[in-house]
Amino acid sequence: MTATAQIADSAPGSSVRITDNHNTPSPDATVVDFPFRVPVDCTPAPPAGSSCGFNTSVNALQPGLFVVTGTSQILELGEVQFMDAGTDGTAGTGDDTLFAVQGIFAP
Amino acid sequence: MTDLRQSAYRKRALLVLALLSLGALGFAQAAAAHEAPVGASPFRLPLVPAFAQCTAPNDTHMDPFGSGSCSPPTPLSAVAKWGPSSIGFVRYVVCPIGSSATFCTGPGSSMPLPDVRMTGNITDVECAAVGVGCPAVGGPYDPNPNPTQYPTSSGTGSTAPTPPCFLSGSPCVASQDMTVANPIRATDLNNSGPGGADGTSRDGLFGIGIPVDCQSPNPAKSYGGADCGFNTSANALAPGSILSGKSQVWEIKQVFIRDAGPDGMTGTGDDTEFARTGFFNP
Repeated sequence: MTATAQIADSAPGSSVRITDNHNTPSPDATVVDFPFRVPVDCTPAPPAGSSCGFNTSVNALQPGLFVVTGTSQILELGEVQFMDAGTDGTAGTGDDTLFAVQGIFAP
Repeated sequence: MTDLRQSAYRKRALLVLALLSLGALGFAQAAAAHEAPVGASPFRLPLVPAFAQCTAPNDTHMDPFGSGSCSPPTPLSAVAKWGPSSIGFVRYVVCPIGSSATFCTGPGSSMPLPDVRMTGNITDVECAAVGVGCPAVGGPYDPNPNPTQYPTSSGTGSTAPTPPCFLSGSPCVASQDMTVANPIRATDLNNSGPGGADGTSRDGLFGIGIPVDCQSPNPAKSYGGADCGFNTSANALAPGSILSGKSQVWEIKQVFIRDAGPDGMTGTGDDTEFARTGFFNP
């Protein structure tokens, strides 16, 4: 699976909108919305089902994204989503579908 | 004769048992009709300023993006801005019948269960321009002049204003200065049909949105902006929205906080986004 996010008023696949002072030539700017994907690993969890999760960091996935300090990075994050691997069983090949989103459950 | 009565009793007992089993099966099938987690609560997200999307880059971000960017950044709100001491959050907590959580049943709480308690707060919200309720830029943003509905405390950025507003109807909107808008897709067993049919509602805002009250910090703080927040519940805002045994799955889309717009009145069409969910890396 893949964990990602979707900004409501942006193109499909746009996860993050960053505003910081780490641009050139003008330091202060809002970056074009971009995707951010976290690989999710599923392992069988007997007696039934699998356990799917991740345990990593932003800079492990995209080195340098949060390395620079003092740049006043504001990261607007869209709706958090989990995408499955689609019918071909391979994540990121275009046939992935929405499996889970952020929310609450009242029994 | 005794044997006959015992036989009839056994038959009736078996019949009752069979009917109860069928009933239990039917309930189990209804309860499991749509996929649902064992639990999903609390829902807590930090808030950050909302900026306009960059669609015509005139700048470039340093590595690792190396992608286009728009300078200067444009806050979406023209009437309210984040001050130097701003921090904010939204937090929704599911409170089922029988909950013993202090947040659901604590002192001062008169919230009937079940319900979903909804709290949030942003500190040091300043006027971005002179306008309705804003005589000076940098002053506290509080366009609705009505007395606050949270006189005990205006919140801290990590705690909500108090006391909570659990009354159904208008009290929670008496001094509304902003609105939480989080489109929700609800899937539950509370749709039309015998016994409550299983269905998914059309995406929509939760009622009219969650009313947010802004006031000068109480107790007084060192900054010049207002504290904006809410402390209420789903059933206070939309009575009957949270029920028991309905397996309610609420998909919560991206959360926005909207200002009151240039006219200083929420919900009149000129409101713009002031805050969204996200992170801040200093």
